[in-house]
Amino acid sequence: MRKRLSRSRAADAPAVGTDRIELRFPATLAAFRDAFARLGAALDGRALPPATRYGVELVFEEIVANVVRHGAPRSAGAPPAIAVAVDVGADEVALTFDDDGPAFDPCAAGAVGRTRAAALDDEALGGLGLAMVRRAAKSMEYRRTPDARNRLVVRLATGAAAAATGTRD
Amino acid sequence: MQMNLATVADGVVNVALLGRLDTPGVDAIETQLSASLVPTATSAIVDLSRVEFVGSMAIRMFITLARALAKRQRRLVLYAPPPLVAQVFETVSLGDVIPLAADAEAALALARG
Repeated sequence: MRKRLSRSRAADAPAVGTDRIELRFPATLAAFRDAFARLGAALDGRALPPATRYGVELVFEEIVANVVRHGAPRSAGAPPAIAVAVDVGADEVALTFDDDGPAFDPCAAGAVGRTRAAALDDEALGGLGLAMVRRAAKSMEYRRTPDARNRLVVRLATGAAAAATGTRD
Repeated sequence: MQMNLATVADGVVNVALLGRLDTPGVDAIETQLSASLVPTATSAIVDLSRVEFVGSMAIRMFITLARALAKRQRRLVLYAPPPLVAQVFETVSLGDVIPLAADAEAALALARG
């Protein structure tokens, strides 16, 4: 099945689920560590298949790490602020990332690197995370909002839908 | 993230990792791991059986370390990854550049070449 990578004006409107996990934190390594722990605790209460949960954590890890590593200070040394919403539905999990860092479209061709380790030179290693997200995702949608924020929605299949998109549980 | 190193053969160290190899986890061990192996040209077998999560930063760390050791005619071998971690390795074909083994014995044989 061909995956959908696009920039969409509907990217801030996940259509699934009423079971939402919300996290807000500054783009620093320390806050990232704490947020990852809070995500894990929240996921403990959801009956996600192991591979789906791994996929949620992988997408969270790679997208947030990218903002932490590359999000330049907005002003006066303040790191970008990140908000993440995880909507858990019956057939998919939607992760919505919102940050006020510099514009960056993870769906753009140049942002998504190669996935074969043997083909990676030192420079290309930096794009590996986004390539892994692309492999795990059912779809990715990005837009730059009018108030200069990055908004990215990554959808993962779960349950019966996972089999149709290649996500193994 | 916890890391324990123990010599298992002449010129080969076993690296036992425990925890999550996410960005904070890699940040916690990468410098020490590289400093323990590369300057002394020591081959390493890495026990992943108690690693719950591996992200791209960990894969980058392993590739960088394997290349540094290869320049000194030494090897890095990964072994016993849990199924979901092994699946991540498979998606990036990590086995094409770093030997993967089922257990410590097989890893040691690969490290000795």
